[in-house]
Amino acid sequence: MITLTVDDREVQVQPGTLIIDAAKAVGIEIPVFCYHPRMDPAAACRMCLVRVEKMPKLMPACATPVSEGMVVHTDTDEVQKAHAGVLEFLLANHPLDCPICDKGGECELQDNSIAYGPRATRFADSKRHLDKARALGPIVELDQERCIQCTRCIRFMDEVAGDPVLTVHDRGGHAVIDTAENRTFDSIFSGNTIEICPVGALTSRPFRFKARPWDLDEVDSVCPHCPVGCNIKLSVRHGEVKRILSRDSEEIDWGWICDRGRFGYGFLKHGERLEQPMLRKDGKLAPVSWDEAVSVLRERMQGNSGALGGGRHSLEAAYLLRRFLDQVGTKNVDHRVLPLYSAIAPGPVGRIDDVNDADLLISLDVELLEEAPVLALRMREFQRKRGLRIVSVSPRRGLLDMPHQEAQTPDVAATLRAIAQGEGDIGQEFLAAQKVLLLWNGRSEDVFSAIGAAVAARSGETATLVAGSLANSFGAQAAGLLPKDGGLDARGMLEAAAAGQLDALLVIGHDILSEFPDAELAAQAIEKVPFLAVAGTVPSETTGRADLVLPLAAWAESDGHFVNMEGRAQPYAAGSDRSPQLVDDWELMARLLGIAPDYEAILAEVQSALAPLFAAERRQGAEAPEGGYRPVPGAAIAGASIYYKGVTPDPFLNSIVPQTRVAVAPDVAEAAGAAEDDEVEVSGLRAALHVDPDLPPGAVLVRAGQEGANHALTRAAEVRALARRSE
Amino acid sequence: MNAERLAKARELLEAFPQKSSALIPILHLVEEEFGWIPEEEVAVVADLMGYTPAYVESVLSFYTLFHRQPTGKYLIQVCRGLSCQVRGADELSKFLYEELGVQRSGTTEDGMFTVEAVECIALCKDAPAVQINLEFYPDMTPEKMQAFLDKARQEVPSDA
Amino acid sequence: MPETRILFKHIDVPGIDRIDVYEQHGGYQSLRKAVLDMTPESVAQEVMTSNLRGRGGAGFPTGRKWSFLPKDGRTRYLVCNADESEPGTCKDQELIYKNPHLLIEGVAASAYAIGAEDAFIYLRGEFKVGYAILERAIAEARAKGYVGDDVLGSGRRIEITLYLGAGAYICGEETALLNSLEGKRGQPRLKPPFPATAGLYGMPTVVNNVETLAAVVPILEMGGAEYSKLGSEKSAGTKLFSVSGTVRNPGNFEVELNKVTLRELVYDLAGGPLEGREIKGIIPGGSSVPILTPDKFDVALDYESLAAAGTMLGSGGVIVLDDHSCIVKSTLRLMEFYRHESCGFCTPCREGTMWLDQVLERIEAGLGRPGDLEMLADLCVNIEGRTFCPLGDAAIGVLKSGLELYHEEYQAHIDQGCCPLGEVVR
Ligand SMILES: Cc1cc2nc3c(=O)[nH]c(=O)nc-3n(C[C@H](O)[C@H](O)[C@H](O)COP(=O)(O)O)c2cc1C
Ligand code: SF4
Ligand code: FES
Repeated sequence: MITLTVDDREVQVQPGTLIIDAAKAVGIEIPVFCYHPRMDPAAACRMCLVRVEKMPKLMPACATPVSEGMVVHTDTDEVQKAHAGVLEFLLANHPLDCPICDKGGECELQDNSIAYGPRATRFADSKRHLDKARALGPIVELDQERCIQCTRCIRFMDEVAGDPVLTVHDRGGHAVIDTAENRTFDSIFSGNTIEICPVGALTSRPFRFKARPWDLDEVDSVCPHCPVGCNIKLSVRHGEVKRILSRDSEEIDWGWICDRGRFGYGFLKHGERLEQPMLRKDGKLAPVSWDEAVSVLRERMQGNSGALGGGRHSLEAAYLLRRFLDQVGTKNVDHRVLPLYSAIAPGPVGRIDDVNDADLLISLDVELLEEAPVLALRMREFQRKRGLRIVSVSPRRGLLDMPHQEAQTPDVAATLRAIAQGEGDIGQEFLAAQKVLLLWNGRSEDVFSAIGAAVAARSGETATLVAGSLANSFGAQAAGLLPKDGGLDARGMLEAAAAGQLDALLVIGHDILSEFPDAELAAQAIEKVPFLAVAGTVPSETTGRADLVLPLAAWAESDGHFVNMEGRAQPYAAGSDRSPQLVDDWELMARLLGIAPDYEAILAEVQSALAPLFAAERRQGAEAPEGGYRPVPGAAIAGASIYYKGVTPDPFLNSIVPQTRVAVAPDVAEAAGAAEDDEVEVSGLRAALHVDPDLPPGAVLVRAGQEGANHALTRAAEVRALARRSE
Repeated sequence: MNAERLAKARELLEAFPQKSSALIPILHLVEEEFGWIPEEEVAVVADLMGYTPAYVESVLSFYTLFHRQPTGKYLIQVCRGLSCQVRGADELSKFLYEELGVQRSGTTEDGMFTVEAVECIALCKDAPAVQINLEFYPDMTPEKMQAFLDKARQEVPSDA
Repeated sequence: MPETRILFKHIDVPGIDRIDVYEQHGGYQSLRKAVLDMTPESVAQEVMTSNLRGRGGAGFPTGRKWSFLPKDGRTRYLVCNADESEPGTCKDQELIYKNPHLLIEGVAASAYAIGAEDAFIYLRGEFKVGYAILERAIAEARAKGYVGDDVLGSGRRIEITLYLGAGAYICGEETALLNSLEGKRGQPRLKPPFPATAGLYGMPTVVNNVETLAAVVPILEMGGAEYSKLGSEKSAGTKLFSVSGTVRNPGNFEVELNKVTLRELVYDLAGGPLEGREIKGIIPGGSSVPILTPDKFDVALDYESLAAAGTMLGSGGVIVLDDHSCIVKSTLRLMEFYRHESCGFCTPCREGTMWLDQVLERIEAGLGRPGDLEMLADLCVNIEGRTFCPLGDAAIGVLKSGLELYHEEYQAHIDQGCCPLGEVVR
């Protein structure tokens, strides 16, 4: 520990701590612009200058490490003059458009000016004139005049996202942030730059001019889109979510979120929503009361019934659904509607923080940016800082966007078993490493058992994480939304339904017709099942075919918990108003169960029944579940997609989603006589072709959630050229 | 780039302990061939280096010897450093602007001459100094400048 | 007062740029001695003993700089700073263009001393012809075994690679230079780490000026102890001064430090003022250092004396202004330069130079306002010592001193709405 003095206060900190952080430790704020606690210092803005005794010049607190016996002054006349001087310089060329600036009210330049600025500017010459509305990409717009050249955005893209798409052009007073004409700012992390821009230079096209920061209430929430569980804040005005911001969590997201998380809220008020319970009477869906809807469903579920879903809804709902199914005595339940075998791997469950000190991370067929984007940022950070070793075992190459070793293999499970037996360099490394993190996409039973063997083979610490599931898949699985004692899994239920052997089917939060990886089976099942109930937030093909439609509040309109990939239950609170006919997901389950929809009581029960999900300790891994996703040989590979995952009803995100594409290995393209960008058909899926040399020979890849994608997953993938776009 | 320069560029990729160092020398090759750096060539260089064009743009825009507009056959750079300025740099530039009919920094319509006022070129003791296509012309006067222009015009008729 | 020509001893010998002529004049004897008769440590020790200080501007003792290299077995690099962009400075240019082998010999001997196999010479982009001259000279030296895989049969590899910048004053700053040499934007780097521990490609690196490295040749020739007897204890050796501006005989002059005054340099060696003119101020160390008025002209030319006079020796670029030179116009010209050359990375430099330039432009155009001068002075305070790299300090060197020393001339521009010196001025 190092002892120093800041403004006459003694501070003890770790060696290597920067003055700015040492000062903060004793509550002394030093103003900054370019400094960001999650990025390397730049010392560019010179706002944080302080006096350090025995140093000839004022020192930037953001870039000066402490030393023993250092004496720092942050508030002398000289330092105050320096602060005011830098602000005066920054304001000299800053436009005076605060009244119409999105950042007004939460602008660091405004705040620092009020606290540290000169009383008046002496600048009376002409200001710089630059582009006021430069679209950098589909989401981010730059006002070059407002930019103060702090380079936070550039450093974020370079250091954190590892995608240096932003650069400085020109130099001196002409220096501007830009991308070249031929590259747009299309990173899935682009929104973070808007949030960390200290001024209103970077704005989001969806949020621009929508509300003033001081009119917004902030509600803590958790992102509902993937199993990472980034912590977020809903900015709400008049009951409407106006934007989503990050909420820095030390253990999970470090203050970053992906653009789906940041912008996937428009559907709440501006998409099509299910509005009221509907019951099919005389062949037509007609509004009914909730009492009637609940009693019809409860009665229908008494027979030979089954339930599908749970990964998109709250832990509370999953838990109560399990209780309800026990009450009515059905063993047929499965949350694994999308391609998933298990949301929990064997072995001790990993923590995202394990990337901080693991020696080796083996990624088992995980397409990281699509399945767990912010985890990629954390991995990169520790790879950059301390060279975390990463190996990707997959039939496909190029799944990770950071330096790593590729172990391409047609059989991931077999390769993992070989590694566990110490075969090859990776095997040796695997056995010798102090701490190994296994990251898996959760898709196949073989790999599940190979992971079990691998964990057992090691004497050192090993932990496992499953990407490739939904926001609450872990919770759904932990709450028991899996077939038990010979109950049917998702496919089994649909097969039974199609064979006329199931009386009622309840689907929660899924459009099985477009999502279940066998569209034909899903269609037959729906055709045959005497009673189909669908609970969810948005209309879909499946709700159109339902006998009972149960409209639920979306996550932003409800209180609840999601359990992320680490098995960590995280609370979210309702921020948005909702239409009066909507109910919370757990409320529906409580009513089915016949208990009072008292959230506090329900939560207390969940917390005690599923205590490990709320505990500080590491969770335990899973036993092998029954059933689950079984890939069809010869069919397309199920790819994930951050923008496509499940239903993407968000109007804004839909407008920026890249065009539907199916990726094929070069030999497949050649056999079909098709080239890049040609229009093709793959088992009913029509899309543009992408020839991907990283795919193994013969492979066809379709991404979840595309129209027709689930067909391609269940039939031998035949690629037929339709139209040539390339010439 | 022409084949010869492209081959040279490929050699440059190997000429330094790290490949990144080849970028500026390769850009010099482009500037040498075209007299400026056209957009398409940025893509060529990016491709050679394994960079995005954005990155190449960002680097080259830092340096004033890389032009983003075509320059004339003769790039006349008049030093306006203080030492040249107190010895008549302004008069020299003014003479050139008038004689060639260009504004501050401009190219004649026939594409023969580009005039630029540049910062100190390390020829202070020979002020006022000029460099033409990066060759130094010390102790310049309007008369010497005139003689140079006349000779250049004679050598290459402007309609050629 | 004569020059003391050591570096410039053979500068005017016809054909000295060819290796045989250079060798006839004793060339490559120092390198031969170093590589064949001395250990790298003893060569470095001679440089330490010589008390040579860096000639690039900061005047840091060269032997000490070399001693900072960590002894950890990592690859080391030597980089010669031939960016010479400081207005008023043209000494490296003459040396490179006329006597390239002296530089090559100095670079090779220094690379040997610090244990670098690869040395780079970073030339400013305008030195394209100088690049060709050095290229040919290196080929000559290679043919004779002075550079290459096995220098003079010693088993030591010393390669010299040339690199041409592309127009950016800031690339003279050593860390910006390293970025530029790595193919990046020429932005200065955060220090520490200093180049000695993490320089070119992250490896331990020494950056020295052309004149500094050239001086290693006579140091080895005469011995460090002998060299240190030239000049004074703290300012040893000879130094090249470029005298430019309004003097009769501008040029580069090599004088013993501490033995010649500024007046002698300018009035005797450089011929004094132009016909009928009077010198009113001298900027003694390149455009970045405070200006001196005639009452200070008798200052001895050495690091300490110039510092005591409130200015700096800097790069040795002596710019002379006379009674036909308008101080406002001169400082405006310099501020335009610094504004143009600011890399734009840090606030005070980017915004400060732009602001100062605009105000000076206004005053020069006769549109100065009351309070402008006080504001200029205060803006200088807000820049000085606050910028990321020393360019900020450089930018205000002349202006800050000029505002004090020539206050009346500035004030007259504001009061009269025009230049008080009339039409003849530049
Ligand atoms: C803005 C700026 C410009 C500089 N320009 C040059 C230059 O053109 N040539 C040079 O040798 N040193 C220049 N320097 C000094 C170098 O940073 C460095 O100190 C020098 O190359 C070290 O060599 P020396 O120890 O031999 O003097 C400059 C420094 C600054 C801050
Ligand atoms: S756009 Fe914002 S974040 Fe980027 S450099 Fe400018 S002020 Fe900083
Ligand atoms: S916050 Fe320290 S220099 Fe910007």
